[in-house]
Amino acid sequence: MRILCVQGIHSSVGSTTVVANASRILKELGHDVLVFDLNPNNLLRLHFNMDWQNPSGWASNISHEKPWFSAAFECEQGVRFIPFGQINYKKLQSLLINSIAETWLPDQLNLLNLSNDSWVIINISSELNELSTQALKSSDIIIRVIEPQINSLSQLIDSIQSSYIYEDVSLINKSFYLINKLEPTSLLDYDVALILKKLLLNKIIPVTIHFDENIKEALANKTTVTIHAPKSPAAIEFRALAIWLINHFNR
Amino acid sequence: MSTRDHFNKDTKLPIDVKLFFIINQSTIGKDWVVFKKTLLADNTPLFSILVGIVFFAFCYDDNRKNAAQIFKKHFPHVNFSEPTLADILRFFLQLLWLSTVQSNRTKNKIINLDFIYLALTFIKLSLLLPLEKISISTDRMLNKVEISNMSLSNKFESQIYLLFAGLLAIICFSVPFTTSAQVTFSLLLLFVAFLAYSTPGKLPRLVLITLSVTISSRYLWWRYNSTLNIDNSLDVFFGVILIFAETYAWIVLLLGFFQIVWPLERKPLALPEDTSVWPSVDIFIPTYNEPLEIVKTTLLAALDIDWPKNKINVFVLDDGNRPEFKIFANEVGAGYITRDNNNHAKAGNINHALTITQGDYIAIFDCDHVPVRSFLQITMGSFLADIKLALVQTPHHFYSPDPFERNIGNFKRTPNENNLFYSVVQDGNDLWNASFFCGSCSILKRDPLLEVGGIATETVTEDAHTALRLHRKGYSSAYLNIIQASGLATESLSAHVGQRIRWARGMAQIFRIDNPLLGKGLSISQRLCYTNAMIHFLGGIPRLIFLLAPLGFLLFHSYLIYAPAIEILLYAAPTLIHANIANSYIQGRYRYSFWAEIYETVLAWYIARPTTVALINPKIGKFNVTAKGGLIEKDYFDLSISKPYLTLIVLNIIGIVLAVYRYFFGPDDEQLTVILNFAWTAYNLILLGGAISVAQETKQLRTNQRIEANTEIIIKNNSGHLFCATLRDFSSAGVGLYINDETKLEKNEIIHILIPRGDKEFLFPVRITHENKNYIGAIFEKLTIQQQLEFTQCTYSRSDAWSLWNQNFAKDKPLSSLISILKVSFHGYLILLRMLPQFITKPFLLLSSFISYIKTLLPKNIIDNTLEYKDA
Amino acid sequence: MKYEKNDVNELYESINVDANFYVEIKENEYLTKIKNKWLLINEIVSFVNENPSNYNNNRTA
Repeated sequence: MRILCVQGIHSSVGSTTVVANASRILKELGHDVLVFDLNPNNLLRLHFNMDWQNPSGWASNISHEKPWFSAAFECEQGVRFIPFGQINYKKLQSLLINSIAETWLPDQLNLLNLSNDSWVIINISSELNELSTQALKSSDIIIRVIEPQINSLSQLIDSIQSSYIYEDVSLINKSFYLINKLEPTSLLDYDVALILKKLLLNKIIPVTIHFDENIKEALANKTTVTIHAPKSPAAIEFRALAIWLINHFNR
Repeated sequence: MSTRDHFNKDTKLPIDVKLFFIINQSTIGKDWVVFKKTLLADNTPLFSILVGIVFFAFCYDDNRKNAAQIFKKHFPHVNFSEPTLADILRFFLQLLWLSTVQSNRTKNKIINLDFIYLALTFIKLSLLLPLEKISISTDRMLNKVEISNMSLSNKFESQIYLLFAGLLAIICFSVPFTTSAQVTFSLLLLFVAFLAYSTPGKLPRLVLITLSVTISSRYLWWRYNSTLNIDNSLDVFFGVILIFAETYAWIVLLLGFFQIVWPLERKPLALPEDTSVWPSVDIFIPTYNEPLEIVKTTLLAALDIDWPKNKINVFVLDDGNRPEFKIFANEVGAGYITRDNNNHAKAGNINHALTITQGDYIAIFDCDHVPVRSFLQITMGSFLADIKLALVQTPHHFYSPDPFERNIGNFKRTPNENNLFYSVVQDGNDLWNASFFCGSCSILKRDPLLEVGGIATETVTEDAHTALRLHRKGYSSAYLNIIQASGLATESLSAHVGQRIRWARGMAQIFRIDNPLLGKGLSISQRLCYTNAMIHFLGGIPRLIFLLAPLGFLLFHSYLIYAPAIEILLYAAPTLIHANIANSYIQGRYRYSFWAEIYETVLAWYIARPTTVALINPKIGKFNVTAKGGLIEKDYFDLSISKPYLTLIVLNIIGIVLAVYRYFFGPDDEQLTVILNFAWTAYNLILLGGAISVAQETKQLRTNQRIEANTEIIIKNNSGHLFCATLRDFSSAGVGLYINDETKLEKNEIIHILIPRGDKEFLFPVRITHENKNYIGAIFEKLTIQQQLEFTQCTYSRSDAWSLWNQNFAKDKPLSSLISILKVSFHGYLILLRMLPQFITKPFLLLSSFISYIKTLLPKNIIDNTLEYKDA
Repeated sequence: MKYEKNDVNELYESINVDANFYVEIKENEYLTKIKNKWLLINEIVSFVNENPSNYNNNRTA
């Protein structure tokens, strides 16, 4: 089981999009993929063409005292995914306090009894909570998504300096950074991207995802850019990301 | 329209598809539709549909799906959709060819020749493998020895060896043989040469050179001793002329071997880590009358060279005193130097700039030679390692076709004229510390340069002369065979000839006023290298002699070589064969066999006079600038420049006619001599046809040469959508793109292209000017100076922009090279024929079109690329 | 280790010479230019230079 955890350096950097596209490509390349949405905003499901009105998900199942894995879905392309589920703030708080034990996530993943070469991709929120910390700890590799923007840069330095992720050395070693939403017409974006590359050197994944109208359109069509515009640069870049991931595990 | 649509609309089914449905074979029916669509056109006559069905019916089940592809691949020249009778002939000839000669490609073999092939391979390998081992181990041994120091380290011993070798050589050259002994000797040497030719390494190289020197010296010895007929004054007259030309050729051959016996293949040396100790460099871009558009790119690229900012200064040396150059230079932050006279042209221009600037080193680029960004870091290390080093030269590389390449149409397929000098000769010179200054793409050290009085102004080839002076002062030079700049080739044959006339005149001038064989300060090897570089340009007259020599016998019935024909053949043929084998082995990928002859034939007449004049009075003659980057608006034949070739052709044709006459009506014992002279004349005519072919100027419409590229880029259109494309070609004015998507772009639409370089990307606005299927042409939409600089960075001045350019050429194959020369020459005569009155040309043109028709009937070799396909 | 293969690496590879000798002078100049141009980038980068941390520690390094 290869556990990949994707986290945005802050909200709206596009980490959910990265999860959806990476999982689709990995599936396309013949891998067995399970996507686990631990982000309460519950947006991942929309990339997989799930009914907007359908409230089910693992969290809502637990809070309705149903087994959580009954909320597993499979998209047309064969990616299995577990949405978070629609759940209000109060219920979420009580869920986090009452139902999520310290080793909840690793236990559940073990229960799934997946084969050695299957992928589990976990989508977590950019804020730290019980769920995201567990996901970070139990994953084999962490992709932290950054936008080439000043606020991302600032947030990145903050997070590294305050050791928010780096108090655990093992987390340092397995974290890699992905630059997303690079706007081709913005000189500043390129400048920040260059600074990021110089700063992070080999911790940066050698694929940059460009900001592309196709990506937005894909979500509007409830799918991923790999299907919406398979020949677009974004789709090709996500493919390169998936291949980098596979190579990372084969190394 | 997919095949599925076909079957839904039953009413519109064509009759032949229905047939399959009637016999209830719908899967075959589907395959047939695909087959028909790929192979046959829509309006195919019923007859060929029937033929198609017959072929189709013969296919096996598993092949049926790809049947059309297989047919297309194996019968590329057969038109299946509208076959003529000839197509049927083509089909069966090809079938025969595939089943016999190319039988290993197909499954059914009729004749099996494998065992013969295997036996031949076995014999060849058993001979060659041990030789290869020997060659490799000697290479290893020789690499440990510093060749250049060998003669110095133990002078006495080496002199003994030299004496011994010299004595042996003289015996070899002078011992007279009987005819049968000469035959045996020649065959043995040829056998050894064949073995050496097939073995890679330095030892075989030396063996081939030794063989060629031996056999050619033997030839010359024989010529001087037994072939001059002193009794007949006409024979003596022609004989002496010919033997003079032959002696010249022999000297050039020997000096040439000496020059390139062991190319040094220098590697760049590292600079110190601390950039503050790097020396300061001035970059000079001399210009006189070239348009700003050309100089712009060079200037921007020069400013982008990776060197500490406070240690590099770029100067435009404008001898044209043009204000727009000054404005542009100021705008981009380069220096601008001009002067109130134009004395001594480029040399004077540089010397004047030397008095104004202060850099420790001077890098010089002709205004169209765009340097790459790594230029200084690649070259400067050598200077810091060797205090006596005064010059580093890098190759001149051209991204546009030279007149030979453009007019013959072999750009990037055959190594060009330049290639030999910069890939082999300069590297060979470097071993003897005699690589010389070529005027551009090079760095000079200021102090030594000032010590010899700046750039030499006495001759029109100031570069070679300056290097000679530096060498005389005991400074050394280095050659780095790494392409670090690229420029424009001369635009037309007449410009090319003009440039070569200047070089030839200049070299002759130096030979006369500052002869490298005389004077102080040079080592023997340097003297020899310089001498060869100079007398190489004196080859005009000897070449003309060779082009006319057979006429001496055919026209005047004079025995130029006073010996029996069979003896001439036995001495001359091995000489020519060995020289060609050795040169083909050494020059391999950089000059294909026989091409040198074409180049020399083209120049011979034009350099003959100026070199002779310069030898007599070196002061006559003026400097002419080589025009570059011009337009040739339509194809035309340069009649004025080809007049000498036309005269020579007429003379040689007379020779051919006379040869035929003498063969049939002359004395019987002369027949072999006639045949020899006939062959010689025919060969001369082949060379002259090649020269004619080059004089047919092919049109060149762009001022800015488009350079081929293959870079993945991204396009951003106005709606914010990105899509992938490939950069196919570029110039400083625009780009050609191949769109991999079915995305439509409108003409005149303004889009942005995103070109990567390393981990950076650069964005440029372009306007689409034309589109053709997936290819679009676009021109830049008002680039800022910064954007122009960025575009240069990710195209012209990428450090690897040209480094792989010359590595694509395959090894020389003398026979196929001869065939391509024949084609070029044939083409030349066709051009001539078209200019003659119609009643003469018509039969010839008919013959030529008949030949090309017959050629379409011949079977084609099918190259099997299925393996590649699978890998991809 | 480089972020990506760039033109200099390709050149040095083609002539079998170690590319580590190369100094990316223009790129370094450009980085300085970025810092001078954007106030916040300058502040952040100066801070990073004063407080070096594990920005690019890598197990493969």
